[in-house]
Amino acid sequence: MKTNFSKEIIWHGLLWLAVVVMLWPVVFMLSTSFKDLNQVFTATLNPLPWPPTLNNYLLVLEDFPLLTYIWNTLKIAVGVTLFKVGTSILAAFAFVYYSFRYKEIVFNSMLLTFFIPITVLIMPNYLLMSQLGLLNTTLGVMLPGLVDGMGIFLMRQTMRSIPKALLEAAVLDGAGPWQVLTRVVLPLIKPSVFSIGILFFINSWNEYFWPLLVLQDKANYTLPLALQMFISAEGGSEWGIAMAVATLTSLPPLLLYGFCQKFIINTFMQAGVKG
Amino acid sequence: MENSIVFTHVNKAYGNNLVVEDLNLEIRRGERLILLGPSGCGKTTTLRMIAGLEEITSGELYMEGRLVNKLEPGLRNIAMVFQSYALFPHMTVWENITFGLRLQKLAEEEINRRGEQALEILHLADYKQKKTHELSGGQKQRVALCRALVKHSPYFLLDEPLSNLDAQLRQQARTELVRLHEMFRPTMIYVTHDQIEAMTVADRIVVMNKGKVQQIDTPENIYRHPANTFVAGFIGSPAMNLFQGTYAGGELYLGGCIVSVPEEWKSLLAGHRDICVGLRPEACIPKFTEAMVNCTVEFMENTGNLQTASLRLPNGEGCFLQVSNLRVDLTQLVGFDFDWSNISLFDAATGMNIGYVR
Repeated sequence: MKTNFSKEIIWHGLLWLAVVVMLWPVVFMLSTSFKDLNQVFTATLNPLPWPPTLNNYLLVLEDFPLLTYIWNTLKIAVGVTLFKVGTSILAAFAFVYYSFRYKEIVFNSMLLTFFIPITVLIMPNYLLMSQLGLLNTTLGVMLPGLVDGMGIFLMRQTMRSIPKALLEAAVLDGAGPWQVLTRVVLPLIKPSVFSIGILFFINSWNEYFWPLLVLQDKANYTLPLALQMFISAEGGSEWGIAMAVATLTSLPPLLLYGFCQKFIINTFMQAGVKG
Repeated sequence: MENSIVFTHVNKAYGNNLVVEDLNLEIRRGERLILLGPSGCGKTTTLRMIAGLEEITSGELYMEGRLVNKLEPGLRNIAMVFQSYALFPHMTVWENITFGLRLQKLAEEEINRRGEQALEILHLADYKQKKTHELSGGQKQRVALCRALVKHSPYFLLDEPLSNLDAQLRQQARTELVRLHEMFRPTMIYVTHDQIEAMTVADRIVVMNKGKVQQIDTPENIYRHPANTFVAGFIGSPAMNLFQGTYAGGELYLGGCIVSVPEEWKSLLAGHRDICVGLRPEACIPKFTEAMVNCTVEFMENTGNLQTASLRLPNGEGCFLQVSNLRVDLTQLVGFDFDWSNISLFDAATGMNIGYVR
């Protein structure tokens, strides 16, 4: 097949531009993490630090309770992910396979939650957590994130692609709703479940603002919060160390995404949603 | 024979749309009953009501004398074969056919015994561990039958089970189905829009149209004595010729010709004026000199075993004539005769069969 060469070049050029724009901060983070403080200010934009130093990483590993922060973040991310995937699956199952009164209204109001900006919810959520006495606790960070309209929507789209006859066949064989869900529906949508799980995990792992409000005790800090400790407004920020921590923080989601890229892309293609 | 499934005054509506209207049907234990009709006639809905997959809007459905309107599908002990086969794609053939038995928590021995037996009967033993996407259409269809068979259910429901097979395979599968039924004699309810399937498989056929039952009878009676003009036009290929006729003064005016009516038919026709005369294409006897009904030949078809002529009557009505004798030259015919014992008469206004002289 012959392709229009000049057109191809333009598209590729644009794509490469996008890649550079998006990758630049990542490269900057990586290179800064290998620079000592002098280099940070003298060769700020140089992507290849010379000589590279491992001091930042060594300092982080020695002085910084990295494992505690990883544990704090992991605890929240895993908890939120499992719970949110669970609620998304159950709600989607009900929306797809059951008919009940006001189903359309309930579903549409759930869709409406997409359009409410997080910033609007911050105040009421904060007050709620405060009244519940959950400020400065892990549970307080997790609670508002346990149900998600987007998750329900994506799961519903996937479940709708399963032919109804399959479920009817299972029902005629004597399967109850729980058996239909676990033995027929879930095995068929496993890839999609994994991919929304990964998305939820990455989002929760990277979350900064809400944990910042809820958590006050440094011992409870998550990784993104711990990062800001190296950047002080009064100057004297430890940029090299901060970037080393940032690099370590972004590694787990990056690896996870790398392994499961195929699932994630498929899910979004199926749902017809651009991620 | 005892009745196994009974519908009394059953209606099924989606909103204001009535898809099955006043259904009264008694299905006998162990018979092969075919629900036949054009798409959208309510036949699949009727089947799904038996399975419990559709709720009944009003009326009663009994199985073995027990009212089952509200009974869960899983508790009806029904085996069903879906048009799409509905095999679980994430399971092997063996897992598919034993799925229901495991849910019933049968003993492992019993599951194996039933599964192996069904695989044996349907010649699938070699495919036991295959995933369903590795199978051909015909094999999938047999796996679906297998899954229904292992349940040892007294009811065998089939929703257009052969419609996804090619013509040759369909013929084989049809005989296979009848063989299976003869082996176990469940009450078999079979939905199809294919009249050849219906004629060859059925003990009795239920012809439906627009949600209403048109006729319930044996294939032979449905073919020979259609209850109304819909059944007459739906069964047979080419369909029964239906002529507009007028009966007056002991004579029948038909397609621009006058046919004298035999004495014994006059009493049957008395009181009727506008009627519809039904005549099967193969019951038209070609005539080359003088004929009861005159016509001209429009075109001819030869299918190797049959000759079919498309005819035009003097009043412009068209019809078909069919003969199995390939030697006669139908292009020469001037008209056709018919035997009164081979015709069906319908009231032109209601379309209902007037009756027969026996």
